[in-house]
Amino acid sequence: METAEQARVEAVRELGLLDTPPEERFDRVVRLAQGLFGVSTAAVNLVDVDRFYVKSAAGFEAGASVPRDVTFSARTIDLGEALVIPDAQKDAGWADHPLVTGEPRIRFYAGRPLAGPNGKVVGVLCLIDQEPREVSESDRALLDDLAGWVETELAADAEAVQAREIQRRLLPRKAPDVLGYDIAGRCRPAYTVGGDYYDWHLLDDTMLQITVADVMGKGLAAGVIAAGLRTAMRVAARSHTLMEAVRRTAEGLEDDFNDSATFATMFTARLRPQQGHLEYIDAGHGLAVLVSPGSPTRQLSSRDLPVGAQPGTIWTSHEARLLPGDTLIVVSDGLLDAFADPALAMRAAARLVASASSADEMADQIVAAAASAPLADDLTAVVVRREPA
Amino acid sequence: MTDPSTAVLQPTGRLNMVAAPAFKHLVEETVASGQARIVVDLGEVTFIDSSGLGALISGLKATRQAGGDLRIADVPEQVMTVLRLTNLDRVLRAHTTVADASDDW
Repeated sequence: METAEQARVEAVRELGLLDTPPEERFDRVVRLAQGLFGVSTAAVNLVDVDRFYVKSAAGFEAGASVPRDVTFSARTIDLGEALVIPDAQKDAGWADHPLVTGEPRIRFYAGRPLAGPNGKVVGVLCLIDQEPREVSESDRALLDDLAGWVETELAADAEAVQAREIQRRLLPRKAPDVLGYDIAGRCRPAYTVGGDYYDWHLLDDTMLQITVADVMGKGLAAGVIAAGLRTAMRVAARSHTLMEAVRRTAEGLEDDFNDSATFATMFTARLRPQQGHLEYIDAGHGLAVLVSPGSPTRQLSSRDLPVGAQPGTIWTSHEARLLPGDTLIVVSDGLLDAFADPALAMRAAARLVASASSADEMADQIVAAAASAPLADDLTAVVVRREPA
Repeated sequence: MTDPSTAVLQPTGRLNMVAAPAFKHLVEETVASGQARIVVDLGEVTFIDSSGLGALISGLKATRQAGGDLRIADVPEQVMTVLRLTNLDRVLRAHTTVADASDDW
């Protein structure tokens, strides 16, 4: 069972704002708070497991982490409502506190918890001064208003949460049922979601189209492009050859790629299951291998450019055979967070295949292999295994 | 002498999702100011991620649209690996030095 504190910490982390630089949208609020209340210091603090991260500050420098237990704001969080200390020196609970007896010699403190987009408390807007002062009802209302403003800005970061949701919805719910094949896919989103997805669908009941793509960039923007790419590929694939489908998709999304300063690497393939015939296009993806027992592992790559990198690009189809017992593995560059070099990553993937007995297990192991490394990028793995004869 | 229409940009540290938007903006401003030939000195870049790559490609498109080009120089191994993996080394040709990249537009 997840505790309330765990859920709270998760909400803070999902914002994706811990350890990020100051931003004008928050700085503006703390500057205004400092001026309106005439205090020496105002800050927006985000509360992690055991520390405060000063996201934005007026009167001192933002960017620091402060141990959670020593702060006034920790008390505000525990309280779950505004905490106002008119004069800490005269307050029995605070008079001996090191931040009162020593630097920064806090006399006045007012803190208002900040709720994240899902209602969980993620931080505190606080005011500090070296002189005691009283807080009127209208001051409290003002503090509420300012905190509400910060909360609105935090909700803009719900974007990160939405991005994760978009990505989740792009993924197929279950593996396709193809006689003689065992197929699995996994996508492990990074801390800040990138634009990875995988997709598969049957064409004319005779061919399986499989795509793994990675839209460069992060967050909602990458997610929206990924959604567009997936739809465009699905539609174009229904009535065109693989080469033409990729070309039309790229052409249709050209403006979107330009406007968002992004592009996508993509591996897309058509499999004729009975023959084990595989037609593929590697659009700058570079991370697909064919693992064949008793033969050297073969990388299925080309020198074709990613989609959206350069107008007028032509992509070429290549062919491969999936014999009984063979496995096709396609991963995304998130695997490179764990392996320095693409060749090493692909060899590791091949080793995992040799030791696992099902496509599900293989995909799980590939994702798990990178689990020890902090994932800066999404990690996607698709495994297509042709069952041994 | 460097041609006055050539600009040299020197991003430093991690060219990632935090730094990429500012870098993209800088390229756009440089192009808007009339310098459509841009050399990006990557010698001080320690790491590039997908957002950084996106910014470089977007810069390449912006300069070409303005009749110029974007070239990269002194490319660290990590950046080179990513460029090779994505085949983008075909369009973003790596030059050894800034001087080398600044010749023969």
